[in-house]
Amino acid sequence: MACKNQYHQENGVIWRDVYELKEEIYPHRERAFYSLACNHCENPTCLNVCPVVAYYKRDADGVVVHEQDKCIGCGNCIRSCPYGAPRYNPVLKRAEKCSFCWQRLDDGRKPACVLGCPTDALQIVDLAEFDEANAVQYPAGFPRYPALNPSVSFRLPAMPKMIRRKL
Amino acid sequence: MNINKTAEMLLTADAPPIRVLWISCKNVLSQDFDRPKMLEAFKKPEIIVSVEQFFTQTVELSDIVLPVTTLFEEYTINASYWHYWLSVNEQAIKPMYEAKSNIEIAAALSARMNKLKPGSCTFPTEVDPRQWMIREFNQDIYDLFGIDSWEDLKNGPAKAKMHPASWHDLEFGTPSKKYEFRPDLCAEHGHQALPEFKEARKPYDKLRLLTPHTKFGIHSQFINIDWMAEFNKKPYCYLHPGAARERGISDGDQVRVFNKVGEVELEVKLTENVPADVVMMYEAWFKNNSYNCQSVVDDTSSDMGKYKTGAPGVAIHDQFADVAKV
Amino acid sequence: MSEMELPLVIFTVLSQTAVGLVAISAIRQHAAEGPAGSVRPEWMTAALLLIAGLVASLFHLGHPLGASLAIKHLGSAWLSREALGTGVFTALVIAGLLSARGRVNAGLSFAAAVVGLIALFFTGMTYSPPGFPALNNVMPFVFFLLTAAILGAGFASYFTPAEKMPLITRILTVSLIVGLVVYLVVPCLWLSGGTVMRQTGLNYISSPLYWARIIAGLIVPLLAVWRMKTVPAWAPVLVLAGEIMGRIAFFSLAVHASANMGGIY
Ligand code: SF4
Ligand code: SF4
Repeated sequence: MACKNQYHQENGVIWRDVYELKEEIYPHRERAFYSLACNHCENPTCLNVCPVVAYYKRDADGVVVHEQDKCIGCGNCIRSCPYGAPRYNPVLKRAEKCSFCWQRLDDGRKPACVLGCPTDALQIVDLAEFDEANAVQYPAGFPRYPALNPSVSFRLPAMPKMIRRKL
Repeated sequence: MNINKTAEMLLTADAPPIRVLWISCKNVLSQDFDRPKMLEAFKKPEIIVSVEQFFTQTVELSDIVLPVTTLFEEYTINASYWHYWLSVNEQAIKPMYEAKSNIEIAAALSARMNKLKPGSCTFPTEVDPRQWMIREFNQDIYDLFGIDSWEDLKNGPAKAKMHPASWHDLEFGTPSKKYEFRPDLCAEHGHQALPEFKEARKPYDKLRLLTPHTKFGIHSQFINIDWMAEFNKKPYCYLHPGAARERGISDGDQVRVFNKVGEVELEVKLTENVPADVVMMYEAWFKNNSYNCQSVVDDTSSDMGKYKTGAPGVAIHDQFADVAKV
Repeated sequence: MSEMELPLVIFTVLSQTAVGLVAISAIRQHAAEGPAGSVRPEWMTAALLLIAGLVASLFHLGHPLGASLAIKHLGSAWLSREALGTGVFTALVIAGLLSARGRVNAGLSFAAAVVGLIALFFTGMTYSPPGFPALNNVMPFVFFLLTAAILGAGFASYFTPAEKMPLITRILTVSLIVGLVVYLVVPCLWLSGGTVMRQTGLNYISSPLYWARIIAGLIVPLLAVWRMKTVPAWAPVLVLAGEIMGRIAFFSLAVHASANMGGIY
């Protein structure tokens, strides 16, 4: 919602969404979630398939930027990205996706989602330096696409200890 | 009158009976307990006036609706349920069309009442909203927020100088500042000084019904906004798989949650997060959806609450219901 | 199916029909003895199909006026290559049509056929994105090739002299048999894949559209050409209807990889 609050996307156009982990992965329903948006992949398929070169990847920080005014709304990136990050804006008739708030980054600020998360579940890290033994790139419930190499890392949720009253 | 029993009061007050209902800053039909009883109660007053910004369920049943200014059109103070900040809200535009601020409406009403019957209303008959706002401040407030004047708030909001947690300084909020095993305060307010066992409310249906707050709103506020609905499209109730099995209910079924008060219809999610003898659903007012937990929550008073709020609370955790597949 | 995809159904089916038609025309004219058949009307048909398909394809763009920009990313975007390939193919077909004197020059015929097949390969690559695990492989190309063979042979029958009908009948029969096997087997293979691929398989085998296509678009025409030993005039129409149903299924039944986020893949 921090994202929605920042950009007020059209209804139905969601850049960052929260997906609950199904009980096959985490034993309690709606108690563990992934907050996912564009992963700013190392080898972004959105960029590769766009016929009009509406995407570019920033050299300095790897943010994959979509230039909406160049987009002709062919839908190719939307079909291509396995993470469902680009969405179709039915009003502008063009694609759009998470910008990583690059304008905020350039201004020395955090992205709206990182700033807004009350539990610090979202953080920006430099993957080149991030080295945490328990962090993984493809946790269960997150599609595995090594060819794209999504620039994300997950700290897995700890399994809960269950205490139940007998009935 | 007991503000937690609005419907009951409307129906039973007789010395004198309530002939006019004037509603301001509240969406009674969505927020108050025992909605079916409220629908009955709304038939009783001779006239119902709502002061509202939105076309709420209460507005739908009102005879007269007075449009009230939004935050953009008035001077006011913003405080919050969620945090300790205080800010001043400056008027950005003149009120649109016939909208007036809440207190201007109250003043106009007072003027009219006093004209018809002098002395019948003690509310000022003329107010300036900005002056009124300034009068809401006093030295205690200034001290609490560490400001010298309300004008300081024009530079930005101020945060109350209070700790968010009780007992952070190892002092209880009791007269003795200690844990009291035999609180005289309790005895003074109609309870036992020494706690003694009291039987809980007897279950009147098969499952305990819990209706907590949702993270998507404050009871009847925010949930119905388009961009909130994006993340929280419709209401669900939560049921233990065992309880569901006994009732032939599967995950995702449309179910009725019903009891002696009334019933609601919504989709069920099965989860062991709730015990087998509980059905849980959140409070809400969704757009284009008649769901409201107050349709199945009655207004039976709990034993405490009067000391802090002036009226006993409602036994919202001692509500019961059953569930069936539609 | 969203509005965005109907134009793609029309574009892909019609342009692939044109590729098949031109390829079979090239073979019939230059690789088999005997009369060439009604070559000009045939290439005229191919050209019209292509133009109709290209016009339809504009409607799947949010901004059709930007269509000409779509060839900007030849370096990596299959869609750019597809646009260019289909454009060149269309130009060759029109050149063939204009230069046809009873036959289209052999070199031009085969050049057009080869470019058409290359464009078809590009289309296959365009519609096999990572986002759809069931399609992120060679299958879209195979499906499109089958469409070209089945509809190409079917439509070619209208322009083929009696002497060469057995050749066309054989091509159509074999294509229909291969198509039937492929379309029956592939959804079953998907069932053994991960969650998303499996769901795609389940969508297929529980879809009336899929079965209608198998029966009307493959089995009925196959029985007809088999028993009649020729291509009855109604068969290509039925086959076209079947391919359109199949293509609608292709664009609407495949499940996107992001549909199962938070679940086991
Ligand atoms: S997640 Fe999708 S949209 Fe984002 S960079 Fe990767 S391929 Fe592109
Ligand atoms: S929808 Fe826009 S950004 Fe996406 S591939 Fe097509 S032209 Fe490029």
